[in-house]
Amino acid sequence: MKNRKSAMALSAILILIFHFWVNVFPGNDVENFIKLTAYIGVDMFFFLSAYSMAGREVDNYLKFIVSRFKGVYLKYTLFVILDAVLISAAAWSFSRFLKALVWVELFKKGGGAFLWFLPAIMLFYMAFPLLQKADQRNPVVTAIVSLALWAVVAFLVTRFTGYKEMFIFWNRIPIFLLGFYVYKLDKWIKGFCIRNEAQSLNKNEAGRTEAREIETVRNETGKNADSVRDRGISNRMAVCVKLVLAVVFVAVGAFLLLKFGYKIKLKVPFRDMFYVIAIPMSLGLIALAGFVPSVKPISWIGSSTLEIYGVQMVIGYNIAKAVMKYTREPLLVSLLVILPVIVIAVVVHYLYGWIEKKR
Amino acid sequence: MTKKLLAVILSLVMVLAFAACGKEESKDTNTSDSTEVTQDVVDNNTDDTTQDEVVEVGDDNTTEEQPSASGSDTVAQTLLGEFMATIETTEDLEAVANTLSSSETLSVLGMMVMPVEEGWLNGFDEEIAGFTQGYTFSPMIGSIPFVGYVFETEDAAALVETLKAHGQLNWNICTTADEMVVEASGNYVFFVMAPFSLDE
Repeated sequence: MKNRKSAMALSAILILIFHFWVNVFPGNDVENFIKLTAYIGVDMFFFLSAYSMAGREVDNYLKFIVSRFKGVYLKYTLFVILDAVLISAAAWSFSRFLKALVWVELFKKGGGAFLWFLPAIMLFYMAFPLLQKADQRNPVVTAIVSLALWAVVAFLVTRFTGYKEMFIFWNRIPIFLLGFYVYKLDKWIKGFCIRNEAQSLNKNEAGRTEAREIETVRNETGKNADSVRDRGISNRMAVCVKLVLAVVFVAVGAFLLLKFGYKIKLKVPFRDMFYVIAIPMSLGLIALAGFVPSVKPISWIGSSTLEIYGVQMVIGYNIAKAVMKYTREPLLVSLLVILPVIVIAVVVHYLYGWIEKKR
Repeated sequence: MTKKLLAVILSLVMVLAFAACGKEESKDTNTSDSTEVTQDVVDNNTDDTTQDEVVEVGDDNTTEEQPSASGSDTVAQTLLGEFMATIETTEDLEAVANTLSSSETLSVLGMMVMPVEEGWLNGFDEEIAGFTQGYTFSPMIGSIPFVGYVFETEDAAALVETLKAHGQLNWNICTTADEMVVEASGNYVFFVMAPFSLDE
């Protein structure tokens, strides 16, 4: 995915806005809409996580899980310890600490669980190799069965129980699956464009001459000029298609969110169905973010999303309290909370990476 | 060897966690399921002799000591007391909302007061109607699970029922308030959803 870091950065910023933005124009519908629907940053994360994973061939399940544990669970544990021991010790009992570590809190409190997204995405990672294996055997059946399983469980729990905490992650299964299948579609489209262009080049004398020139460049430079050339041509087609699709998805997504995911949230046929409604907007924003070059600051933010999530939950509110002692100007409060969280998170991310390299 | 050790440690932690499930400590104040407690309170100070105080608290299906039972009022109950005291001295609803928002209890939150109209209100799953005037007092930072309203209405009992039926403790998606308190005093209605305590 081109400029994936830009999409990751946008997702992180949306979540910061959802948690910490103070309305500059109270009562303004546009500002309110953006703020109250910025929770879709989480949906974007689920999609991007699946898309990233889809390109990996998981040969060894245990090795894959261990690598995910190192990348996600270890940092999650550090944030839990930091909050429980140092930052908000009054809010933590020993039982809560244990429940957070083994994700019991996620099932008991849903979105109210500490850093709920991290245990939730770990659960998805643990199921991912099974999805991949099943998809290799029969993609159509796998897609149908996965969605059916999601829908049946969601329906049964809604219909026969009062349990609602699981839906904050359960209803993200569709967008996670989409991430997986959009990766496959992207791969197929690229392959199609390359094959198409290769055929076109051989149709006439000019095309064949061009093909010979590409071959010459490849031999002289050692680069695979065929694929470089073909990538360029197929990219232009892909860019046009993606731009149009992005705009359409954002427009449709905005309408759906306005009707069902903004003030009054859709809760039929399953609880918290509005997470599913958010899919078009999430996809549209990811596609649009792909046009934003991942320049250094964006790349830093996009690489530090886990730390941004952790830092905002651990100290974001404390920063907000400190800022509000000195000012109540909404824009200032928002920026003086959000920017330090980003900076601290980026520093933590690269410091952690440096320590890992030194070990 | 490392993998086996990790597996053993994780298993132990899981066993301990599930064992701890049965022993909820009172410090763990965020809860998920809810039950409803309704009390009839006789008010000697107004013509309206019957008031319904609806307190919806979190119940994790375990015996949990509520802060009010142990002697210290929750955030919502404290504000309710201040509301009852203030509404006797003034009928200016905006002034009541401002008084509540500047309460010592809420001093850490950075509150703002805004008028509201019938329609969609933050904290509810349906549009709210049945009041002639209303103000919301809530934190500037939306991720804090607190929202408060004061209303003036011609049918307090009906409005109380509406608010009780449509208030959502988890309106904030990522956070959940611990309790909902709704009380009428004459033609004025108080509504708050908040954590038990803001000390953390």
